[in-house]
Amino acid sequence: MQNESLALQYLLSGITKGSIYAVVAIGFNLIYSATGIINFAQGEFLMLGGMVAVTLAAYVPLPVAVTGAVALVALVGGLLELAFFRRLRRHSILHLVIITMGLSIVIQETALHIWDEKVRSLPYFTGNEVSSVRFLGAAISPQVLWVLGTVALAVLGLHFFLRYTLTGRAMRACSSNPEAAMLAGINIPNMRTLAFGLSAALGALAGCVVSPMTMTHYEMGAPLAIKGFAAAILGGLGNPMAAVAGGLLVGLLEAASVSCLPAVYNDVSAFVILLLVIFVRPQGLWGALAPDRVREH
Amino acid sequence: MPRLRLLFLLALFPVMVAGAQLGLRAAGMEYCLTQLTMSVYYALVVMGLCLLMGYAGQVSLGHGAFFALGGYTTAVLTTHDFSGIRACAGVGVLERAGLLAAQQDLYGQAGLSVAPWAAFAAAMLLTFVVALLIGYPALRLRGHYLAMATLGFTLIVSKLLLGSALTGSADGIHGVPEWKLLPGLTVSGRSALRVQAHLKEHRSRATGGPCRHRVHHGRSCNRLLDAKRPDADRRRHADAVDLLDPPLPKAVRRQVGRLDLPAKDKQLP
Repeated sequence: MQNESLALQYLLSGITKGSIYAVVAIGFNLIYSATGIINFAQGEFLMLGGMVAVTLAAYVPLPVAVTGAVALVALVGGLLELAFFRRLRRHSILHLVIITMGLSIVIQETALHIWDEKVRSLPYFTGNEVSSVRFLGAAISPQVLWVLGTVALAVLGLHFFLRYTLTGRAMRACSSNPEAAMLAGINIPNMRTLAFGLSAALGALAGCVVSPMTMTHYEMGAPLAIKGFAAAILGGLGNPMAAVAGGLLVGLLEAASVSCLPAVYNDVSAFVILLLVIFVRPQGLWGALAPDRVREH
Repeated sequence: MPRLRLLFLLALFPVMVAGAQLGLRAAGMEYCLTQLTMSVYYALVVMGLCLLMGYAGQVSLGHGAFFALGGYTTAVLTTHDFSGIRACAGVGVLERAGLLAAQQDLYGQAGLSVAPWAAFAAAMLLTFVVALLIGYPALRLRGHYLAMATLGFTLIVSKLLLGSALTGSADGIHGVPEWKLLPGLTVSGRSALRVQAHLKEHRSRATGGPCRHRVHHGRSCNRLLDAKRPDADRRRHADAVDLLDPPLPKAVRRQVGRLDLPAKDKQLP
């Protein structure tokens, strides 16, 4: 009984972490499908979301603060595309990777100057630090439910948007065949800006809901970006739903590793398994290896 | 004609090394030598990276891992006490061949470690083998997938090194012995010989206090000159443990800041 509830506890913590990685991975995917860029500044969107929400929460009620943060960060994401990537279309994968890494540092340092190096957090959405919900013998914080619920809603919403709305379908058209989409009258640069904004908004939302549990710090972005990238690769780039599965897998692997190995090795086992998977399946678990999907880099 | 040019460049190199040395010393800017040392061994890593990226066109975010493996291998081999195997056959032969060398640890205890040059060779060999093993499957991957694989490899190596007691966990390894190249010419990372202004700057920036540079003068021009030797320096920097360079620029920068920290000496009991 004791062991079962412990296993369940690890499982839940893995799912919680994994759902955050999943959101980051979806962000990677959205931008990758629309532009072919892997945006290593993806983690900074979470950090910015948390930071802005914490600042706003001092003046306005929490829901307004979160909404405001999401809107503001989406704007930042769109502006990044307008300012940098619109001009850098013809660059190699390596240039773009270095540029996004550079942007990530710039955003971090800017955040350090706007706020400071202190760790902040939003208040718990319901309850407080010590309140917990019993679930099949495991105790979970109500915030975990908020995280899982928000992520699930966001994923569903995104799925609905990409599949059933005109704008979403136009965005998918851009990623599957830019030339044809252009001929069909879709404004591709605008779609790319929208993809950046959407991806930033998703990241900011995730940054807000995890803030009470993991705290918000100006350096929190980079590790999240690496894990999210791993999740996106594990699932297969260009497939947002595979990214969700990839994210959950990475989170669960981490939790499993923490349960039986020293904590310092928690990344090791996750990355070893990731490497083994992509060595066997070079296109990720659910990625397509159709040659026309591989862009010229 | 190309041969003549090569000879000219070869002749120019020592002149430039000595010129930089003497010029900076005369100008009282020894601190720049520390910076030059760092830039030279970064350049060496980048040369390896260029071979892969420039000539083979492959993206690698994992080069820091090889840098770390090389540094750690020499550091472990030259500081670890192998006297437990003294009874084994053949150890005497190795010792006579100069592969093993008697060392003294911080407490004055005599021990048996691998000679620096043998450790250097072992480090290159080990890194070569590891690179082959990881390269064979990794080079089936393309583009972003390859980038992820190499990034993952770096993170695995860095976490393993951080987690293992053999490599000194988070403290790293210190007291790596000097490497005698020629009589009077050694490669060492003794903190007393290093110029520390970078550290001061780093600290004062962190605390926001006024930046006061205090430069410790290097004692031996010869040794400082010697510390510029790139091939030696890559593998044999005394604080080899701090050489780990995860590929994110932020992390690199932090490591660079740390490189100049003087080796922490254990407190004697």
